[in-house]
Amino acid sequence: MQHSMKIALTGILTRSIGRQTYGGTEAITYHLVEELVKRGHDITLYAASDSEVSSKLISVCSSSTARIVSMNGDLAQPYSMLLSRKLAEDANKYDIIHNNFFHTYILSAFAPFIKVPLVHTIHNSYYTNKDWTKALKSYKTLSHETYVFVSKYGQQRAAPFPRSTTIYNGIDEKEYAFNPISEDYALWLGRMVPEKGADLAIQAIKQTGRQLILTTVPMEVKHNEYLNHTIAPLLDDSIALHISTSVKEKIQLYQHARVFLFPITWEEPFGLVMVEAMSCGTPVIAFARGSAAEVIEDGVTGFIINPSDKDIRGSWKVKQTGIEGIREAVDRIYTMSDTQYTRMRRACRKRVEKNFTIQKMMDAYERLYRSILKTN
Amino acid sequence: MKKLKIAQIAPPFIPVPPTHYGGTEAVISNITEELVKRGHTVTLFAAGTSQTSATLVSPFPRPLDKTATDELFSPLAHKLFWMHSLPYMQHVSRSLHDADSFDIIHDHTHYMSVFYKDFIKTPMVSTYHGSLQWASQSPIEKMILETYRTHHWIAISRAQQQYSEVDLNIVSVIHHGIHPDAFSFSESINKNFVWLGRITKQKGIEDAISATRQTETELVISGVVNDRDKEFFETTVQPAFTDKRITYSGPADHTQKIVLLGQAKALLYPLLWEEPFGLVMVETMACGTPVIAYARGAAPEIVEDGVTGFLVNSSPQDIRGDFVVKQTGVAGLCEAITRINNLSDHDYRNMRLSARKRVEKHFTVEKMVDTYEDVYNNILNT
Repeated sequence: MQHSMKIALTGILTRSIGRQTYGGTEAITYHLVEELVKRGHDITLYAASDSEVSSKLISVCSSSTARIVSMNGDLAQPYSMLLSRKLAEDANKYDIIHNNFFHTYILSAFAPFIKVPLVHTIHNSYYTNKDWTKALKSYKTLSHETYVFVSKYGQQRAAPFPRSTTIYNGIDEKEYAFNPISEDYALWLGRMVPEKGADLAIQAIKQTGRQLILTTVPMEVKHNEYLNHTIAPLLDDSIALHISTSVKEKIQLYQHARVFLFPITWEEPFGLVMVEAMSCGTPVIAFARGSAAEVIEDGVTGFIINPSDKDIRGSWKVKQTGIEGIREAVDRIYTMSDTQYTRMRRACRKRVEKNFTIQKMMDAYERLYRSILKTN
Repeated sequence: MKKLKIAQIAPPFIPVPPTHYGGTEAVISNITEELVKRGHTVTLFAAGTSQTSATLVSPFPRPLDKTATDELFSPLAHKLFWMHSLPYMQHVSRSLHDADSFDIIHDHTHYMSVFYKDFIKTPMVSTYHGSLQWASQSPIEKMILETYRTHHWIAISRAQQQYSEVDLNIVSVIHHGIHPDAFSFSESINKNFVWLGRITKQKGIEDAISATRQTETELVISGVVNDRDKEFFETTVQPAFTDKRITYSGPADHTQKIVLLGQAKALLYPLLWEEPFGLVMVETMACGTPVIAYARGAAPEIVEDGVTGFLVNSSPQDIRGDFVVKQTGVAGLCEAITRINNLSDHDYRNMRLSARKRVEKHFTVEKMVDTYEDVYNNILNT
């Protein structure tokens, strides 16, 4: 039996971290903490004071305080800096520090003053922004810092990052239970922001005459413009808009959907929703952006579509691109034989069990921690 | 005094000294060069294209996004500041990496460096170059300043300290200094007044235009127009150019600035905010040109009313002092312009000489660095 490690983790400050969290980054942090505790490690989480975890918790503010000062949903830097300073002061108490801030660099800027090894998971997609890339080019990582990307896409795109690796995010596959049969609706789920492409999902589905359910969380007022001006005019009898924060409802919607649509317009670093849908047995149709081609097995657990004729990322089963491509893939899924479709649902589940569970993710992180401690 | 190993930490956005705009960087350059001249071993942490006789260390090889810096001096600073914080934080933390090899660290990065001060054995002193009033009106920045209230802070004017809502541990108020020799005294007298600065609403250019039109005097406007201010410039400033008495001469480099300032009758400086210092007032006075300023921010500390120019209360609701000019606002500016125009040659010449003398006595690099040396020593001896 390997001895237990003393590990400090940081988590996004603008949300509380707990079992009921909805968003991707904080859910991953929650599972990391809980699973590490379960595995007998001595864990301290540096996060918002209203977080609910089994580990020790150290805070400088609540998530609502952090949200008040945040300008851009996640930009609670000043508090993150104060929390980072606190962690830097405490650093020698730990064997290793695992940074899960959405804005990784805030803790990284304290790295010169921290002696223990640091692991930074990049939950963000800085590497797709020109300005950030420019800044990151001059960004010198120190020898005790290791970067974890949540997709190979991210790791390659962010190059050159020394001491970096890819560890896929994982979900609780028991919670996202498999359902072998489906109902008839297509599903889109996510934050109602242009990057997630709800408008494209609607346009594609309208051409097929199928039903679409859009599920989203209540949005901050500043994002309502997209909902009111872009989405609302597209709604008709074939499109149902469902606003909810219930994880239980979310899972039920995944389980009964015929297909999950993910026509993202940005380079999604991981896309936990694809894995959640597949875990429930629902195939995913996504644009070949970000991590999509790593998560979906084309033609087996769904379809990958090139975003446009000018943006060809690979040679996929569906040759059409953009909205036309999504439409073709939807048609294919709805016209499959029952045997073919059931096989696809099973393949989805298997792919998640094999690659994207919390256990797999934790095994990888635990191995990484130990290998870093061995070499340091 | 004992020769010290000193680190100067500048922001990473504008080279030291600046090529165009950048009062803070000009001051950092003056401090650094004077300390080197006095035999200290100085390391300057600054943008890669800086020029210095100290040892230059640049975590980033090129100056970072300049538009970001312009925003740092706007009321939006507290918002945009953090948007650009990745490179700024990296610059600061990498600069402080080897902090223990210095006797003292002199920081000029707002409050970016103070986050790391507890991890460094070397004492750090921070000159706050921005508006403490704006900072303490922003909940975030107020919280940070309160967290680091007891740090060794240096204010650049009594006004800057006065308008802060956070009771900071200000170890000294040190006015900026310039090299008077770099601003040659001018006796030549043109009829025109001058307004010089970054063309933005906050700097009161509208009031300057109104006052010159009402008094039928000539005004030369000089300064850069940033993208953010283009609309303001086009809609509010440009229409005034149909008046032949008002001319725009574009941005000025150092030589052009000396000519513009030196040959003008007086500088109009009707600020709409509590500017923490206002280097251009000192530069103008060094050229021998009087300054007409609203009595806001540090203006009353820089201009000696009736002697080196005139202070004007900005409105009847905002009376800061009993000045020679009794009217307020634009009317007060008009009164001051008229007073200057009506001075006898002898009295006007005396005003020019007094302006120059005031700079030589109070606002020199030597005097500024004398005080900084005292501060370094006091901190090191406690």
